[in-house]
Amino acid sequence: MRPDARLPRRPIPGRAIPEAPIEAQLHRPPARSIPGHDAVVAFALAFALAFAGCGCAPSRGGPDTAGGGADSARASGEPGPGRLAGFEAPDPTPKPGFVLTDFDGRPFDFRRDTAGRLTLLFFGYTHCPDVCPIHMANLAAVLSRMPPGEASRVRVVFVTTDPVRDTRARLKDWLGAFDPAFIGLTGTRAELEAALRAAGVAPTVAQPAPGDTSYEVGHAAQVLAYGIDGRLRAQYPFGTRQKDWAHDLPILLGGAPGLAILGAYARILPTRDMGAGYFTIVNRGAAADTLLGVRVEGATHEQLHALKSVGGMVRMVPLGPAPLAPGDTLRLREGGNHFMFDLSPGSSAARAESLSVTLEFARAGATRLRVPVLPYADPAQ
Amino acid sequence: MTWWCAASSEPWSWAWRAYPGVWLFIALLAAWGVVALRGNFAREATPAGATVRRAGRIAAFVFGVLFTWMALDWPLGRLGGGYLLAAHTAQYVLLTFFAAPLLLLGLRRGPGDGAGLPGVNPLVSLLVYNALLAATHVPAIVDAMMPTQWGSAIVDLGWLVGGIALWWPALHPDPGKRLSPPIRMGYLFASTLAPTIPAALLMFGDYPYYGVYELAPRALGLSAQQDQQLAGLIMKVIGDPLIWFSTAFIFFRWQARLEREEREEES
Repeated sequence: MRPDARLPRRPIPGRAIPEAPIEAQLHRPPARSIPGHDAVVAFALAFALAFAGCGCAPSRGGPDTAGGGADSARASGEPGPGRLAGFEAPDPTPKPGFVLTDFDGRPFDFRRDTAGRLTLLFFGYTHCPDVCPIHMANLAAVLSRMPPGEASRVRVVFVTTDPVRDTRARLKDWLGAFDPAFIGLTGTRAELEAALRAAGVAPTVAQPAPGDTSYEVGHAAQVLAYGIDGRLRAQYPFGTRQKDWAHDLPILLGGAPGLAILGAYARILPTRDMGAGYFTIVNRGAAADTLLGVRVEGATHEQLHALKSVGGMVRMVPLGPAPLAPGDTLRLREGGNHFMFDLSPGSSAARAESLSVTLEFARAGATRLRVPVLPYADPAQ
Repeated sequence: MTWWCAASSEPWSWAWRAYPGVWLFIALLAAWGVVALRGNFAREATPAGATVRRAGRIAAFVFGVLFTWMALDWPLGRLGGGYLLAAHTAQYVLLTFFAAPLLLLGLRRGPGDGAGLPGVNPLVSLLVYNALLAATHVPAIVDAMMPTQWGSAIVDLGWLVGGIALWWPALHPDPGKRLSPPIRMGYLFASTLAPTIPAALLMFGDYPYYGVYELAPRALGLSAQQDQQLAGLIMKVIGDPLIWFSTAFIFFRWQARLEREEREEES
């Protein structure tokens, strides 16, 4: 994995890691700036504004025009609609293949035993004073708030970088304190180094003096997120907040196997009775699939639409099932294909900041997304 | 050089730390108090009971200084500076609801001896207090301020200033410039309204609001979520009852005075 030069450099005091990725050197980066909080003067209003807009909901930035969404890492700031708060992988490499031993003593084939799950891979050690427990605690906190059905589709795999002190029992106890579903892996030094190489993560640095049992281990600080299609989707450096995980995990889970759904957002008319939604689907899998339809929670009617020129006039016509062959991209964008939905103006969905949208695929089945609602933009202007 | 408690990347430990900036501030506060109290006493006549009242004022000021010190120095200052939001909130409560009123009580003057100190419109006081409270609880501001010693010092001292602004109309050193008891009670009740908003948000927020505390090495076994809930609880469970107690105290004293005056009129 290449270090991302756009990530801020901040050395860990007493723990410099030569040639390690920049992420490995991240330590308590300043909390991200949150737009809308700087002009707070009026007291009561300030409370409401400050907390309500603190970024605990998905951001509502500008739309990501079709096609560009997945392939560029986010440099800084809040994620755009359908975009990840983490650093999106420019190169969705496949899940690394390595076999280690889990904390119950069983062999664990990383690729095979996490197949079909959103997998969060982290290399760390249980005596770590800061980065490792904070990452694990934040993940556990967010997973505990997700619907059980969704949380069970996430695998958190912690690979020790300190096999001497991290015995299987200690790994199990330590991880179990966060979430008993977390998986701890260990192995010989050679096996662990091979796993690090396979994942593209920098080697660890530990030079304990003889007899020293309180040494620290320099290690990469990022969590690698592999989508359910088995490809690297994003990296999460130290400093990733719970709200970032809460924002990203549903998106990462949203992709049906092999299907990447990117840049989803919606707009609702000022009359609050109708809206339209947009996204891009890329079929990165080996099997063809078909988008059958869209459902919007709280909507009374939904339909996929295409714009067609008929007799010199652009008309909106229903879009039938949309086939997606391997490698195909389906773009729903403003001024082009889109989905429309009707709302009851008094419904909570009509004023929601985000909508729960379910895409129906012939092969992959139903895939639910959280789609941010952007302010209405009059196409005539 | 570390001179004020601020967020640090070091794991929390109970090892003692020196914060000379805090000591200097406390020394200056105490020295100023000595000068102010001596000046007050020198201007006053010494009627019967004056010695007891003076002892009470000295005690109030000393406790005000001690609470300020407790809030700012190790361990609470260090914990609140960058490890636990609950400790940060405890600092706020100590400075605003304990230290500030005690310092003002210590500086009480005899009737008519507060000419040099201005009275403040209670609405202005409420505005200043709530503006400082709001600014020092906005996540973006807290996350930007607490990692620096200057920022942390500004937040801490802002709370002391906010506390003094809050209590000034109710405990003005010149009794003649204090609010009348019924207005004082209404004023104190009004002061509890705005803090309910951040307290409720802290207690019921889905995720931690402050990155500086969420990403801090954990301390005292509290998760970021528990820490935030405890902070909300401290803000309301300690801050508000103190105001209620003060309001009740004012009410009963006022009642007693009315009854005394009634009896005097009858006799």
